[in-house]
Amino acid sequence: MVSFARIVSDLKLFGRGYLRNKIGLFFSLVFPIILILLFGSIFSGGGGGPIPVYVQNRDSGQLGAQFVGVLNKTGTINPTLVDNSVDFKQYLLDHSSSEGIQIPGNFNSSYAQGKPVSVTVYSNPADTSSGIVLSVVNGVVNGFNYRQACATCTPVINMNQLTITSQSAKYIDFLVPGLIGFTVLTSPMFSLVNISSEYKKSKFFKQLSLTPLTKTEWLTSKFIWYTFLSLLSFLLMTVVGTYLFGAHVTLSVLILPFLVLGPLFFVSLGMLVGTVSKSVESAAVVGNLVTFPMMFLSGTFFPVNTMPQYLQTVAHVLPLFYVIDGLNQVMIYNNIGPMLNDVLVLLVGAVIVFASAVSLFKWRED
Amino acid sequence: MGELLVQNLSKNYGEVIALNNVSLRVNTGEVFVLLGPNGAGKTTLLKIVVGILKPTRGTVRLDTYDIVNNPEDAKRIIGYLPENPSLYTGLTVTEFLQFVGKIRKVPGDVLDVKIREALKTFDIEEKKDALVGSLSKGTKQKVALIASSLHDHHFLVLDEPLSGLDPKTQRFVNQWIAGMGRKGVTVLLSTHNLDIAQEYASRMAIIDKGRIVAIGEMEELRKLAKTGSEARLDDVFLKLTEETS
Repeated sequence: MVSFARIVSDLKLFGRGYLRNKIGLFFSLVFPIILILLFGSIFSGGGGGPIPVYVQNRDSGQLGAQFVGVLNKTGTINPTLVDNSVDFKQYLLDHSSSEGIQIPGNFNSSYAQGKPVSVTVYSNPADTSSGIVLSVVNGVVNGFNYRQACATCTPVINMNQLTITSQSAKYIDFLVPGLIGFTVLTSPMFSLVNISSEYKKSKFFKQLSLTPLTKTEWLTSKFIWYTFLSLLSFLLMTVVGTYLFGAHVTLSVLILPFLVLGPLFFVSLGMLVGTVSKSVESAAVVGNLVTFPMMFLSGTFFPVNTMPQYLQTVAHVLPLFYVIDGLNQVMIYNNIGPMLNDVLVLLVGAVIVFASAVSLFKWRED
Repeated sequence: MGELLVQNLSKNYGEVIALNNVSLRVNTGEVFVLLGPNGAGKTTLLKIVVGILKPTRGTVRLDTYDIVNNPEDAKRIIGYLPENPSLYTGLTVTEFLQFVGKIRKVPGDVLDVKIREALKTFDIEEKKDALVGSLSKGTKQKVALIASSLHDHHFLVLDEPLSGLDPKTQRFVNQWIAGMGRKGVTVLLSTHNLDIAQEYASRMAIIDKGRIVAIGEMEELRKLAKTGSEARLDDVFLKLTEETS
């Protein structure tokens, strides 16, 4: 016969154990709050800031300048003028820009004479900002057309939409580098947080301290292992993304720095978290607090420039942002300059974190 | 092979004095046993000797190496068994011993022979391919003992090596320890098992509340405790530790 008293006794036992388990409490109560704060901030829709867009105004008359001025006044686009002498499409590619607006040289004269003229908008269908830019330009074009003195005349200004990338990039093309970055973060991070706190608890590190093995050697072996794993998962994800989902990504040796520096950074960071935490449970909590926001704010699943401005600023201090951005630069945009910048940031950061992890981690009791 | 010299060793944890001006010498090849109640400071002393803890004051010298100033050279010649040894549970016995031997830079061919012989000596040959995590406590202790002695060591420091072992295994381990001493290895160990200490120790020290209360061979301890010449070690121990409380 079912005993309510026994149910209550066991319930109390379980509840006490649950409440004393920091990991359980974190995932039950704190983690959902973190998720809602993160996603609420990202998708709250406000404060995204104007989208920076390069504009090449080839028009020598006043109308081109007026057009640019109106674009600026929308508050949605922040136009940056590009010199007329440059190849505009190449300029956009060199600057990894998904959007660009080109006003033709005969803009003013054609409009004045009522002859059709087109404003060219370069965009990336896989980028959510492009949709916004297209809408804004369309609106401004319509506005200029309505200004015509002749109400029954056909619109003079048209919008010519061209794709910025050499092929039409799909969302999967951006997801592959994002998920590679995701794996580069999570594998070493969760593992090292767990290992370093567990080994501290079991006093295994103390025994290792009595051998010639140094902390640097121990951490280096972990870095090598996770570099190997990141290479393997890169290959697997690229193969699956390409053959199953038709992803178009560029494979190049320039990907390698990110598959090496990323693991170096996150192995060291995981070690640091395990070092400063006093117990296995608190290490897991701290590890999740560091990892999950980084996962969602670094451009893993959606572009950073779709987030509110303040979150974009936060993204730029996250190491995973540079891993994913670097992979995008190589695999999608084929841009060496920004890629080298990402490598430099990661290299400096990884060296500092590695040195800190080795220095702060104590193998002995005191 | 070497001498262990502990001089004026003290260890404080804030207000708590774990060790208070401890001095002792262990000669080459001696089996020196530390005895004392729980919390007396035995483990603290052993941890300082092997370099896991730093002393507040005093020195520890193994051969010519100071454990604080020259830890790498000192650790190279120490074999250590902690009170509850941690082993890689995901490795087999052979894999774990190979890992330890390679870290200790034991040459490959020598290591293979040493592991084979040690498994035979400790009668755990059939466990060589078993995962460490699946072993009984006694077998794990044997594996840990083998691991502590694979390299070329002059000192063997063992913290409660008999803890949790059945009587047959305890006797085996004690005979093995005595054999180490006969080979010239200097052994320092702590134990609660007074019978075995009486049978195998060259000399003993009784430590209580962080101080050495008595040190010497069995006869010397009996004289210090002012017990009869036939007094057992447990009587001597109780007498000496009662006097300090």
